[in-house]
Amino acid sequence: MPKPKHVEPKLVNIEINGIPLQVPEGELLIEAAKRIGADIPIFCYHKYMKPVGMCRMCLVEIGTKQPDGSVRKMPKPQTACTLPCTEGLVAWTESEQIIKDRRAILEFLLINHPLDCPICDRGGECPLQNNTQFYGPPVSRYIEIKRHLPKAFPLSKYVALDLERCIHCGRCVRFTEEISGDAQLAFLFRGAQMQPHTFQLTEFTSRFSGNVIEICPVGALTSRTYRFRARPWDIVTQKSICSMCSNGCNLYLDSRSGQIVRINARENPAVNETWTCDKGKFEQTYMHAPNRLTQPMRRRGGDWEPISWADAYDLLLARINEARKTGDRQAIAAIAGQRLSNESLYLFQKLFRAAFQTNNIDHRLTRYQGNLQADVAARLGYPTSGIEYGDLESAPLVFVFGSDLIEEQPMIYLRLRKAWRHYGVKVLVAYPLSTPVEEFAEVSLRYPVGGELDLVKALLQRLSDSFPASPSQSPNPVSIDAAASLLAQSPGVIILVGEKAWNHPEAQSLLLALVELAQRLPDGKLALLLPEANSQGALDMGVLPDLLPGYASVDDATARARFEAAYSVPLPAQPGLNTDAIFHACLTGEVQVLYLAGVNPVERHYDPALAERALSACDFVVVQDALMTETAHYADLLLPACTFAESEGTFTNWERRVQRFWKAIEPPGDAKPDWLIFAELWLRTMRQTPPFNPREIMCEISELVPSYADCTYEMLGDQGRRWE
Amino acid sequence: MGEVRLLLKCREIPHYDELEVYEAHGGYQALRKALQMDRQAVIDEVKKSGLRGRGGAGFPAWIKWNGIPKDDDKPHYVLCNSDEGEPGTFKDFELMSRAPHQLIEGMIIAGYAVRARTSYIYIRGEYVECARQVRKALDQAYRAGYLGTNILGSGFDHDIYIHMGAGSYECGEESAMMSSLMGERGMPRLKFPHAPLPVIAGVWDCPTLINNCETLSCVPHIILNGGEWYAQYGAGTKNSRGTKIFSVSGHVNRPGNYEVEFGTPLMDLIEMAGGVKGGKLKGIIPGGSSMPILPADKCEDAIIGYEELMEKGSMVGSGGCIVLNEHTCIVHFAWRTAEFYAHESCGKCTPCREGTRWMVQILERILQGKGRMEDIDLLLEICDHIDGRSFCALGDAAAWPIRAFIKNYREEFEHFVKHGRSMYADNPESQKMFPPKGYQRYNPMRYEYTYGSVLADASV
Repeated sequence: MPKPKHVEPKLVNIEINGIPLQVPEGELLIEAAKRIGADIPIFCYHKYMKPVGMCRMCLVEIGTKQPDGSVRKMPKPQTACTLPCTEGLVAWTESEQIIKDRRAILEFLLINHPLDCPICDRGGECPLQNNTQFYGPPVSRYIEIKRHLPKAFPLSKYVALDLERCIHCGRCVRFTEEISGDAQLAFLFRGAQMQPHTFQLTEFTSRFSGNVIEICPVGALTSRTYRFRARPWDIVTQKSICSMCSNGCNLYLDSRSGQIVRINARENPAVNETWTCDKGKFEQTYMHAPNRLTQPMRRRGGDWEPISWADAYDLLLARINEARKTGDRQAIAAIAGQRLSNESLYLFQKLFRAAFQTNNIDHRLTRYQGNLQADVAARLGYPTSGIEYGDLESAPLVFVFGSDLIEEQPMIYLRLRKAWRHYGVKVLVAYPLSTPVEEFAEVSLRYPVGGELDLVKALLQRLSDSFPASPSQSPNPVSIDAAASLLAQSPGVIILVGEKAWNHPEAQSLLLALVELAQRLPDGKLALLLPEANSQGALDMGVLPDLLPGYASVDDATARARFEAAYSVPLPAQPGLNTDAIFHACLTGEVQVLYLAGVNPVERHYDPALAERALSACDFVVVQDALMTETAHYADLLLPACTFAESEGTFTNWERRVQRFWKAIEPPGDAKPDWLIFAELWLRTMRQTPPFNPREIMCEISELVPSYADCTYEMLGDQGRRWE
Repeated sequence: MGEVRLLLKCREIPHYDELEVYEAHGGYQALRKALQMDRQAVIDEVKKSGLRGRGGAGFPAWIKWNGIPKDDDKPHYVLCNSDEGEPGTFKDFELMSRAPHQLIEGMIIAGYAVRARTSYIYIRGEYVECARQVRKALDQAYRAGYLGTNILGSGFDHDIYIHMGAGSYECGEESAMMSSLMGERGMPRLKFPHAPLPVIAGVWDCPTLINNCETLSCVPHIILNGGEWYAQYGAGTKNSRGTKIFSVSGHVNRPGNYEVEFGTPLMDLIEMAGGVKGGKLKGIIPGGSSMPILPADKCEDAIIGYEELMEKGSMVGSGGCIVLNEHTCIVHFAWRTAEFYAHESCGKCTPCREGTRWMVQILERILQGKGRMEDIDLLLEICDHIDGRSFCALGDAAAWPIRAFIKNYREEFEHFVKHGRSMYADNPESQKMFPPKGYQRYNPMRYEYTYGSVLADASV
């Protein structure tokens, strides 16, 4: 059964250490004990995994209250991590017997632990160390020879396994079995010889392998990228948000002397629970890439000449003024990146709309560059996604359309897997190639590459006979029939639309067909999965040629009037050029100045050749980026920007959750945060006081954009807030 | 009192494993009778018989039978535990190889009573001969229409499958057996009150009836002759009814399986087996190696019965009666017992995994003559820390015998520690029982032998 949206829990009366309390029925005793602050040490228990009671660390004495008020004690201590609370449960977590038992368990665990804490990465943040300090025996009575096993065995590119340190809690094995589902790790051998390992000692190939390092309660699984690079007490930890995709995982960035040495997951039950993918955990190293830009530079012949920020601004504004004088409105265009913060994107559109009087701004590099407001929002009531993570668990059926989820949206994949595994949510998948979602999908539709539109039309036709017959090029009609009947029978279907739809040659018709499909299904919901960390924010902030922040049309005078009043300048009413049109205008010479802020069309545009030709043809290309990208080689002026780790701001993830990130390290050289560059340009052109920090910009956004009205930093907190 | 051959009737009849012979001696009459009865009536008959689980715990069988939901639409399963791994126990071996039809008939009746379509026999991996016999009997039963669809025209369908174990003692534990059957690692699962009982959610989360091979073999006799008839055996005891097969081994003149009525004195059982061999009696482990030892003075008036033996400080267990004569060195015996449990610990929980191995290491050190006086108390303390703290009963089973050995024969341990050699070191009778010189013991400290050189040269 899918998880019900909201259930009023039935409360039961229990007693822990003599303190009576009421908890929901079936809550695990270990969670109930947290409510009164009773500390129960654990190793194998993990909040997001099924309890197993392996390590026996959480033993407590329990009893039941009899009708006459007396307490009947159970003869043996029981594990608190597996015991559901029932009416009349009585527990003692600090009794003399329990103190002795904890000491015994720790003595058992330590007899084979090498105690090489001084050279262990976990030392200082190790649950085994902590529990031993609090509950363990002061000395060991073990005088036999300890076991010796291979140390630092490389399981994969990222993970090293130290078998001597393992305490066999099984967290890693259970993670790969229950959560990531790839079942890469298993226990080999038995008894005291038991080892967690990959089968046949093969390579640990999982997309979520980094999580086992974090959940390991000792230093048995360590990160090969972090090994020996820092100790827990000399790193600085800062809260952040992942910049690798639109899932918006909450992270901790750990830095040591200005270098990010490690990335860990930060718990957010509504988003990533407590997981990360390997891309976000290990591959997010671009802030320390050797090709970081540290100084503004202008092109002199074939060479780069370092210049000052003041000179760079002068040069830029001179070229822009020249273009505005000689050309028409089309002479300036700008494309912003989807990894910029909401604050930067907002200032970006403000700068170009108000100061440079142009609507030629966009952020999209996919084939679909239409008007989402008209195509989707006007029909469904929401622009991209009508759902959040939790909805996946309560839906009867999730239709994954044109997305290799594990690759594009790893965290949605994990949540969908959980929904299927724990709540029996059915899954329907349509993708041209084999994808891991197929393993648990009820029906799998493999269509020929490019056949998305035919597939949706075929489905629509099955759902209603009046729809025109589809061409014959559709996948197996049997599975289409099965899929259609599944869709028709499950009210509240969620359709997740992935990259294949955005980049379809007939993207607009496909999107309209999908909207129609969602409308046709009873209570159907559509979620358009966006590619990058702040793609949603770029839409919300109106980095679009035809929409103002908050999805108001630029030709809507009343909407414009609000912004004009705030900016005290008139705004252009004519919709501008989208990315493709900008590139074509570059080729014809209409666009003379092209401003690229944190965007890399030469690599990321669906047609890189077009981008390359356009950039070569354009008179003056400004590239503002953190890295010397392929695109930067076409620039006439280079402005060094900051990465998300070096600045403050907010990202809006695919489910429209606005989440804050904090500054973790100092920017290299002269690099400036994107918002600051736009603010300084605003000061130079408009002679108006610019905002001084992202917090102030967010205040301005919350005043002007109705959906962000309660997204000020005070309201966001560190868990973010989903706008409705 | 004394020997009663119900289940071991097969001994007197040649070719009892053949269907015709079995039928000629009243075989499958109980099934015919049961299929005419109401399902609840079958369960009531088992209740009247007072049959208790023969695997070791002695849990009343009818409670399990009655606990299977009666009006749900999930598939139900019957699982026969024939993973007889307890050292000293070999009753299922004889039951399966000599009277496989008796077991199959019992399983079909159980399946009928709990509305199960499918049954599994989980046979110990080493019992290949038994599996062959059961396979042969199953084929005969299918051919005769006792299995398959519409059994004897009653409309009841039932299938029985054989599942061979892979050599793990732990898989005889009922929840580990379910894991193993489902293709998982043979590790125990959470039990009541942490998880629902197997009769509610067992194999594949469906109601599952798990009974020992001997328990199920009793069922045809109970159904055929009535529960009251069965309950007359052992009527003299507190709460044990019927007969129990004891596998008598060790220092007796005629080791083997002996089926006795509950209430028989323990010494009568030893007499049946020909009396103690090679000297006076030192002690008896009545219920398989995991049960505490009874020293000779306690054996004199011990009566076979679940509660009766409990009062003496031991248990009926699985009926693996190991007899030790006066020349046995208990320290060696304790070491061998501890080594077995260290080898068989599945590794799931800390106390059992680490504690059993620690005990072997200490005992081994004592055997090498390097023991310390405090080691004896340390062993006792380790037993306390394992007993009741481990995940399943294997931990208890490892701790009980060691604790009983030390409590009852402490002076032998002290002598060994003090002098660095056994109390019986000069006794030629005892020397025969010592491991030969240079005997390479299984050493749980040596890991290389399992790993080979695969990991040796690997490093980051």
